[in-house]
Amino acid sequence: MGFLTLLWLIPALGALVAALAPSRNASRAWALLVSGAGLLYSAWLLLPYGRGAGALRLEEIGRGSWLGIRYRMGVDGLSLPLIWLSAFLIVVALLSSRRDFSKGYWASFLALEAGLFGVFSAQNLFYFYLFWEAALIPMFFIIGLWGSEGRVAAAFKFILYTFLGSLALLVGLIYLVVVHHGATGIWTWDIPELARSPIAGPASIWIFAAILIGFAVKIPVLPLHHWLPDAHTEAPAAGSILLAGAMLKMGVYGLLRVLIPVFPDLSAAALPWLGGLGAANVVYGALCAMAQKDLKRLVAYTSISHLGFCLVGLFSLTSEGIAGAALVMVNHGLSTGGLFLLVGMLYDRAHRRGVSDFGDLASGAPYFAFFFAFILLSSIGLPGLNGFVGEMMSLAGMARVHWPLAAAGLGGTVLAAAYALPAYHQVFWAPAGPGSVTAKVTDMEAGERALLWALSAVILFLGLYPRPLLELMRPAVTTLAGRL
Amino acid sequence: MSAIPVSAFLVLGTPALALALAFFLFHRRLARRTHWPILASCAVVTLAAADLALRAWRGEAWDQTLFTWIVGGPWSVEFGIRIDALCVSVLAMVAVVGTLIHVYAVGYMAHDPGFSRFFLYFHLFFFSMIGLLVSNNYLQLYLFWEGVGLASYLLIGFWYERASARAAALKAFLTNRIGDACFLAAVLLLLAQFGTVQFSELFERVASRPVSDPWLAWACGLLFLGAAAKSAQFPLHVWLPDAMEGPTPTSALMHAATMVTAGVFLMARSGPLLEKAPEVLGLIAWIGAGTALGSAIVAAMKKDLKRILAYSTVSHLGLMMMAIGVGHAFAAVAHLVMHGFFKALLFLCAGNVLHALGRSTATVDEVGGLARRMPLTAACFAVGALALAGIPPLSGFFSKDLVLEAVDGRGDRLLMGAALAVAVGSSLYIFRMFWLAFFGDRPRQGGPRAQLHENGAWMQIPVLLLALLSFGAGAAAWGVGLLPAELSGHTAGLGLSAAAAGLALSCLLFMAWPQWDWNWRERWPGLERWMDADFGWQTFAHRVVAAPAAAFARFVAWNWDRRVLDRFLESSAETCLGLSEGMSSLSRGMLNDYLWWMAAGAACLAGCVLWAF
Repeated sequence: MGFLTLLWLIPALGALVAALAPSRNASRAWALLVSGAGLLYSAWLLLPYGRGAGALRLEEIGRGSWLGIRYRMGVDGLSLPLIWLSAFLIVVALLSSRRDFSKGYWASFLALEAGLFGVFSAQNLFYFYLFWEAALIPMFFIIGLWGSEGRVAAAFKFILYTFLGSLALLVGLIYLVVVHHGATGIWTWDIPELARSPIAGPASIWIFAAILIGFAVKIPVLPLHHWLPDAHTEAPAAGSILLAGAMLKMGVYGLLRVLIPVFPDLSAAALPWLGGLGAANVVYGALCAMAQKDLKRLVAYTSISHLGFCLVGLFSLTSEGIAGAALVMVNHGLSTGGLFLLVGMLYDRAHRRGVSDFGDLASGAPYFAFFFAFILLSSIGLPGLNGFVGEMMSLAGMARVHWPLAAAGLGGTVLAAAYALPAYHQVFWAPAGPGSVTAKVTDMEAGERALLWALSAVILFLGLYPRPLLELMRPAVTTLAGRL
Repeated sequence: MSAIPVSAFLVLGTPALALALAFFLFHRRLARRTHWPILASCAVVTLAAADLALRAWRGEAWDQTLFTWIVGGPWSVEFGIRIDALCVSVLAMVAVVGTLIHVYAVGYMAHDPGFSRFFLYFHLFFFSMIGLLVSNNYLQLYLFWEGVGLASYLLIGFWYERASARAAALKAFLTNRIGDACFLAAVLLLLAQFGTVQFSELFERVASRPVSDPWLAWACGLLFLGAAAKSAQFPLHVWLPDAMEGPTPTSALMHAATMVTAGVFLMARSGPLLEKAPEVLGLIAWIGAGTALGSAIVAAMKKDLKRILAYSTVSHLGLMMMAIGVGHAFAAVAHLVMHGFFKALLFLCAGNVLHALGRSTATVDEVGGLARRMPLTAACFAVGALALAGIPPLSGFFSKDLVLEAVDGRGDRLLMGAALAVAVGSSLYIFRMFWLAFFGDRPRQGGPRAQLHENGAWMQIPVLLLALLSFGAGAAAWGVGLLPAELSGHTAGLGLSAAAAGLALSCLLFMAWPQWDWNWRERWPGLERWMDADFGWQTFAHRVVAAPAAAFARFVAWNWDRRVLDRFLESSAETCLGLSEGMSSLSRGMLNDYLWWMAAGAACLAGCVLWAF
């Protein structure tokens, strides 16, 4: 069995075992073991790339295919960081979860991990779609079963939106394969094959639009963002970490891996529109975040803003912009994941999430104050921390081709400070109001601190020395940008 | 170019190491001793800066790349160190003044519960400024630039339990963030146009561009907006007066050595770019002149001791920007250095008074007649005031004369008139403060009734040393040939007369007629309010920028995103349901209904057919 099959098969089988485990504790321990192994395995996969060999590594089973459907997996410099990120966030999410969740909870996260690994390593669109759908289901249960008060409505909203998006994606993909067969006489679902002979004609616009909608719901792109605030707010903290940190990246990854390579000309033609949507995402998300009164909702809207930078970078179609977008994906996963982690810790203690439910936490909980500030600063793009590099590269790419959009994105960085700091002031600095729950918030325990120190170390490292990651991505980015 | 000296690494590495040590080791366990590693680092930095200054004086310069930070397709950005005359002249001042203020802060903050936290922020401020000075490219400079902004934000909001401190910190950060976005836009533009932001390479490539290249003009204009936010120039100066909310050593450091000097430094550094954009230079000169004059007038009517000094800083930065605008970066940097000495001195004197009073701010109403109780502070303040007013042979005289010469050389009488008016104004407001605070005890002043006393050695020694520097630094620099030997009698005479005029006016208004400062406020309260808000600009900026932005955000988030969009999308489910229910009600199995529907349908069809033919 190949090394990439093992990657998703281990968590998939692990999920089965976790669900059948004799007790909750055993299930939790097993889930931690499997996710830890996944993290080590993904880190091991990254290693050879540190030395500059960033080309595609493939794994195929069977030579023949039925209607072009064949099992074909592969990883390169663009997918490996996301695989590592997913594995890392799963470990963080599981470690930060309360111990008394049922077996299904632990199993769901492993199933989600399998789905994410599959999406990020599939080379055949049929399998890509299978994993794509497979990842939705555990998240539906995580939100709907273990979320907070409004969980059921949020879960249905989530599944309806993403399901309709997936439907558009499926129709688009099938149509693409059929049209491609009509033009070339070859049945294939392989992404590189499809990219080699791009289809043209009026049908291609419809296919482009359908696939775009499928990915856009996931990212989410305006005005399809509506499921996100509810889903993030109602999901359990660990679910929010995964949803924002890893699952939103599936959409951007789809654009990067499928849409742009298969439709280079249409992507170039749509540059001002899609780049403009990206800039709109940046500004709109930031404006909405400015007015939020619930900490989790606030962080949820910042995700919309940050994912806008991905679009701005991607649809600049320049090599630095694409690399920047790929970097934003990783950075956003770390910083927003970290913010959800912190808000979750506060919620676990005080059972409140409102900005004005807290006050003056800095005096009683200095570790919270420090880590929250640190990760918030990384999230609003303070140079020296990870968030800045990706945003700056995305904007630099866009500045080269369409500078008004880059200027709009820069406006978003100003708004970022305007949403982050007032909330921080209220929670950590301002005197606690009459109904505040500050007294319930005890400072972090050693284990929690260790988790955040690890996260902070990665954040600082990637801010000052993002080069290993950029070198890892370079071959794939160059190939992609070279084809445009 | 010889190998880069160890001192260059020391100025950057020592503060970083000290910060790490203080944060990880001292802050938790030895909170009252956090200043140990930090003062040690200050000492090392000062020695290393002196070493670099001496080497640079001998004509040595270095520019070395350390490692690659970001690689992005057609360009890459490195981390590097660039040491040249411009860098070391500011660096030496920053190191000396910064170190003295650190020492002062040990005494000033001794009884504050946040002692350790203060020193961490303070040293981060210092470290970021040094990093900014030794950077060899714009993006690295931007990194430290934001570091300076962050540290200033933390220090302004240091006493965060006060609402005013939080508001001031937020205002400072947001205003600076606007400037930073402009700065970053300039960096992106330069990257897109020239493929590099490293100073040496960029300036080489720019040299071949024609004058008035539109891209360069945009880049320069955006860089200036960035500098205007940091160096508190109109229209982005709004944050600086409120920044008084931090502990006084912060103000001293911010106004003399770190923060506000960064913008002038950036402009001086960008000289080769600005040369190619004469229109932008003209704009800078006029914005500088307007800012200098306006803030000098406002400084002459403020009551809060620290705010008077804050507006004085804005005014002097305006003078420096004028010098930049007329193409004399040298004069600007010389004034920057001298201003650093005397402004730090003045702030620390104000700090002495505040510390003795045991409060964080005080207005002229609450002091008066301090000279009797605090003679040493009064004498030191007098030295600072004379230096600021530009009285020879104190330091301010030499640098202000350079600025006046530069402006005079341009031949624009209006600009020169503005510069002289600023000189009159500076002398007026600083002596007003001197008379009101240290002399008199006027009927309207509450006066310090409690027993005031001079402060301890931690605070006295830095003040005395700064007084010495404010007194002699200009003459010494002139003596050893760092400043041009030729002094123009024409501008020196004009400058001196302006200073004398301001001094005479202040004697007349505030000594001979002590009620004047209170009487006009009672007669024209509207005028006072208008001037208090920077001629209405503060109110305008709040009403036109800050408040609408917040209101718009609320509108988008609640009225649009939540009420309109969300409700519309959620209603789509009910619409579907309603439609399907309506449809299903049609098929209840009633044959009569079906017949009626069939007849209606057939009639429609027939109508269509008839109409078509």
